[in-house]
Amino acid sequence: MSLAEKKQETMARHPFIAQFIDHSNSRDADGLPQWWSESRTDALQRLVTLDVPGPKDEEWKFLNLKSLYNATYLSEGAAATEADEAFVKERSIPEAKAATLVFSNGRFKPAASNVDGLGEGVRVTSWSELREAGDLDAVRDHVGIADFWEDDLFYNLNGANFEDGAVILVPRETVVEVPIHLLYVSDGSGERFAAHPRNVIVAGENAEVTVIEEYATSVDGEYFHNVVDEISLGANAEVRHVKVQRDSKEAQHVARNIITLESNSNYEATAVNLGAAFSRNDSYARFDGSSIECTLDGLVYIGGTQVSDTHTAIDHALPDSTSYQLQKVIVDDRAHSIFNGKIFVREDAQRIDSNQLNQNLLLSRRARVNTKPQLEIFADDVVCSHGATVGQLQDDQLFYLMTRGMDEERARSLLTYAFAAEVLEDIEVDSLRTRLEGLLMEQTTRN
Amino acid sequence: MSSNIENFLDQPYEAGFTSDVEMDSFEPGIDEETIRKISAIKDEPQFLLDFRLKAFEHWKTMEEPDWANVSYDKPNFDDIIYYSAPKEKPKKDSLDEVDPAILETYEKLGIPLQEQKMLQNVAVDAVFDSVSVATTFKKQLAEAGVIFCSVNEAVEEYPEIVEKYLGSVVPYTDNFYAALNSAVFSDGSFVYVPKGVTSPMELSTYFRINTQDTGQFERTLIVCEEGSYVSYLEGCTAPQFDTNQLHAAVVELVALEDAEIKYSTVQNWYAGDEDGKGGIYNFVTKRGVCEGDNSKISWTQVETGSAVTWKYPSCILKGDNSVGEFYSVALTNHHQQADTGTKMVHIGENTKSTIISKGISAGVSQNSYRGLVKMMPGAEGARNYSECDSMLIGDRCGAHTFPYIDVRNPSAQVEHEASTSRIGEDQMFYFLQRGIDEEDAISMIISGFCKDVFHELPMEFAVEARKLLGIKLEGSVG
Amino acid sequence: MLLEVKDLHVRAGDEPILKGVNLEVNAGEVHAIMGPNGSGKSTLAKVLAGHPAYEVTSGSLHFEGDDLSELDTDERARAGLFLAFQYPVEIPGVSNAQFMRQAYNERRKAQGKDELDPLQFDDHIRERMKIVDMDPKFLDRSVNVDFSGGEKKRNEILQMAVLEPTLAVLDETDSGLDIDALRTVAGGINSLSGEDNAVVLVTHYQRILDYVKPDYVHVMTDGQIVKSGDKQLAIDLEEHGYDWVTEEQGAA
Repeated sequence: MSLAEKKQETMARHPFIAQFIDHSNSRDADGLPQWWSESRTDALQRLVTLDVPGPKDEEWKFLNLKSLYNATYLSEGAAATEADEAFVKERSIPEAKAATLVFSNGRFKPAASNVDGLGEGVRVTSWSELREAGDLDAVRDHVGIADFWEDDLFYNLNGANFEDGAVILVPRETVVEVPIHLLYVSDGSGERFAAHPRNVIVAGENAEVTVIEEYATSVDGEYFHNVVDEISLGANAEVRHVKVQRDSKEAQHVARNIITLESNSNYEATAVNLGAAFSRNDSYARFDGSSIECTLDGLVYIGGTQVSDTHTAIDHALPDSTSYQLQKVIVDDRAHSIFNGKIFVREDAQRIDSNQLNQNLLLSRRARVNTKPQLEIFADDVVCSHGATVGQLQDDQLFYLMTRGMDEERARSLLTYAFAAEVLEDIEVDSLRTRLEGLLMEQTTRN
Repeated sequence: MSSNIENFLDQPYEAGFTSDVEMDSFEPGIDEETIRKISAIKDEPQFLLDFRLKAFEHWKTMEEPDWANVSYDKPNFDDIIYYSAPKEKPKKDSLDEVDPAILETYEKLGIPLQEQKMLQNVAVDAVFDSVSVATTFKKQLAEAGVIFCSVNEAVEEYPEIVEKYLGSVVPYTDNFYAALNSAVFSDGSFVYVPKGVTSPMELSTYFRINTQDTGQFERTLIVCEEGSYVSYLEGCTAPQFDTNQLHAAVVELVALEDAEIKYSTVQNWYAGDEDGKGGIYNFVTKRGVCEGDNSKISWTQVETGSAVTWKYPSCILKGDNSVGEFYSVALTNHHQQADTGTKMVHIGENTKSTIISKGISAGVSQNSYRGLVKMMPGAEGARNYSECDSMLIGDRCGAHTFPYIDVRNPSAQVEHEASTSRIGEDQMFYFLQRGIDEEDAISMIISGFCKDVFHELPMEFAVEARKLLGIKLEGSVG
Repeated sequence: MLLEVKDLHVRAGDEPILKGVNLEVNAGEVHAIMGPNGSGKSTLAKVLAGHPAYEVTSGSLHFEGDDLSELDTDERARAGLFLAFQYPVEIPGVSNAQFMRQAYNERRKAQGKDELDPLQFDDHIRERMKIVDMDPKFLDRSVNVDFSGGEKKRNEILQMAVLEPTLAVLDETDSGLDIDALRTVAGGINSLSGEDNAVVLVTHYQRILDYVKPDYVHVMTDGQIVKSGDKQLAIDLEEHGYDWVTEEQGAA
């Protein structure tokens, strides 16, 4: 069957996929380096063979994605807007004043961004800027770094369609002192659109960098963010990565984070998912060396009819490394949270120390939690443990606070806050932490 | 050191002999005619034939599941013999007419069927290939009002109870193997404990597959009326053949108000040889429903045999305050694969469940725990505690944990913990320095690891289970 | 002679650790082996017990005339050689009572004596527990699991009391103990040492020697015993530090 015929068939079966094939084909290929157009073709070829995942697929259990699949989307180019200046200002992070990239509806906005004096050789830029400058080869070796999601629909939708996103290249022996802020502002007032940001973060040997990746909405609406992050750490590199997802509660947010780690590197991630009608956040960390430390923490706090799904896979392919994971989830109203945390210890990957804890708090009678912590161990000299709890606030703690004069409502919100705040404690950017804590406080008191 | 431990695990399978018993067997293969023939041989009432035929029709529409963490050559269902029974028709009232070769078989397995030789306080139903060949202590049980007999006999004598409960816990639509079993099941054990009665002795079924290429499809049904209690034990062995045999059983338990059922299994089907040739495919559906308030169902299993195990003894906790328990030890060695665990479905208020699972993997085996804890919206104040520990012996085996937790009630509490460990070299040195040799050290460590589960087994079975692990761990010190 | 170590060379992997150790221990004696961290004193203790991480490259070890290289770790133990561990390991699921009864009966069997059943052993061990002032509740707990540092050390001395070894090698049993625990442990050691057995104390500090009086004190540095003497040597060491011996060695 020819590609065109296959496309016809896919079109008939999955208009959702077909429209993104169309988007891809209509994209400007002028001056695109060969490696990029090849990777786009690869993605397209896989797309025509793929089905939309549904509740029968183990990785997509419990999900009803009809409202995602049944919608039509403009490509982000057609939905271009300028970023709301006041909004950007309000969301700016003082520490990252000289290192902020602003994207509006998925498109890089140089005028709203500011990158200055980050050090010799440090590049904090975007795909569109590199393309304009004819400098795309700078990023070439850092895309397509793992094939874990080769058969994943959303990864390939991004592969066929991405045109913009952040590119952060920190050369070896370089420490970026200030955090880098990626601010994705979306304006949902227009027609429904889909954006496919591709963010690339590379820390060379002994390099150090902190990245804040934030999704925010200036005007609510039904847009679709389909993000892929590719993060590579060289030997002894250190990357701290905070993701704050506060997309519109009418929007859809799907993200795939790929992290590859070389010896002695340290990756520390905190993913805070608060927004979107449906959010799906997946991370895959591959250990390509030894003495690596990897932390994947997360906080999900949802209400209304929000659905949030987090899947992580920590892949200990080689011996002598450590991983930690703390995933906290608060579910209110009729919201539904899903978590699947996989830890793989491959054959001969001895002396792995891996610890995972997932705690869930249900605040409402109609809230629902599904969790599946998962261990797959093929080596014997390892210390691996996981734990999961689902429940409500402890009565004895409530009672204790009430004996100290707090009313029940106040005691509840305080305990809910404390439950979630543990995840935020490790965020080293003070203003961001304070802001998130404030947000949390506001949300817990509202309940 | 670990190679020494592996040597301990390389032990001969003691139950691997074949008995020379004259059998009546069907030709291999399955179609509607096969099912009608099975039903006709047993002179079954119409409702049962209808049940079988519906199940068969449904089974034909189903596909063999492949979600479990096991890989094997799927059985060819046309090569399986669906009915095989000793030629001598057993007379249920006396053992005198049972083929002596069969009695000898059970003697050799340590299960003497002559009552004078038996363990006190354990009544045994012996199932040989497809049919029950003997049930002991029936008279004493009858005096207490407890019915313990083969399913065939129950169909004859108590059809109304069978019709009411058969398929009520595991419907024939439940899964591929349950559907197949519902179509072709040949026999099994039936227990009925009337209101307020505590069974005066432990009941036990001993399953034996003897004929090559025979599938064993037994069906067990236990019903405990209000306020009654029974403890039921199940053991299984098979000869060593280099082909795989299918064992697809269904077990259904019903506990009414205040009733309690304790179901214990020591599974030692033939596991195949060191290279993974032969062995039993153990694809079993076991489920109990705590129908009444304050009822309790407790599953305890020690799984040491079978080439492939696919088994999730489960509890549906319908009654308020009902309790479900699952205690499991699963040992895999060589090429064995086990995917086992439980489902605890909390429906009633203040229901409680406990899951303790201990997996031991050695050789190149794969051992998976798969469990589901589900808290339905009405499960106010429900509680679950789960603990899944794995021990790896050697660096070529795998231990996997797949716990599914689904909570829809904010007052329900679920707590799950899992860890992996091995027998550390420093632990071993400590034992040795105290003058305890490796073999004893390993057996003490493993027994210690499994202690919480062994503790739940009835005394007679706990001894057998320890012995069995002991045998599995026996061998030459390298 | 109970123990005779002659020109013992030992390595761990490629690294030589003991470089010609000589030591003779007779029945009725208490020896203290002192030395700075990394001097090899703990290695010597483990080598006596036959730890698999170490390889004897030359020299000899004899216990009551038998060549220890012929005996596995458990055989040495059953012959009456006991090692109190510096870091006793935890064994989840195996109760202290079960563990000690097994060890005790193995030793009894080796001595040609009858084994004790659990009831008889219970009487015996409760008696022994008084020596180290341990609560019988520890019998039902898993070996060393969730024991404090001091409880672990007491448990080691309890095992020594139960097994009645001919030669007890105590590897830094005093480290990490507060003064009361140290007194109890030392009291236990004293009440167990007699005419027919011997004790080798491996220690970093002189402190325990205030309670357990050694007949001989040996100083180990860099894999060799460089100085031997009586109790006074330990006192001098406490005063001048290990450098004093090394310097003296250097000067000589």
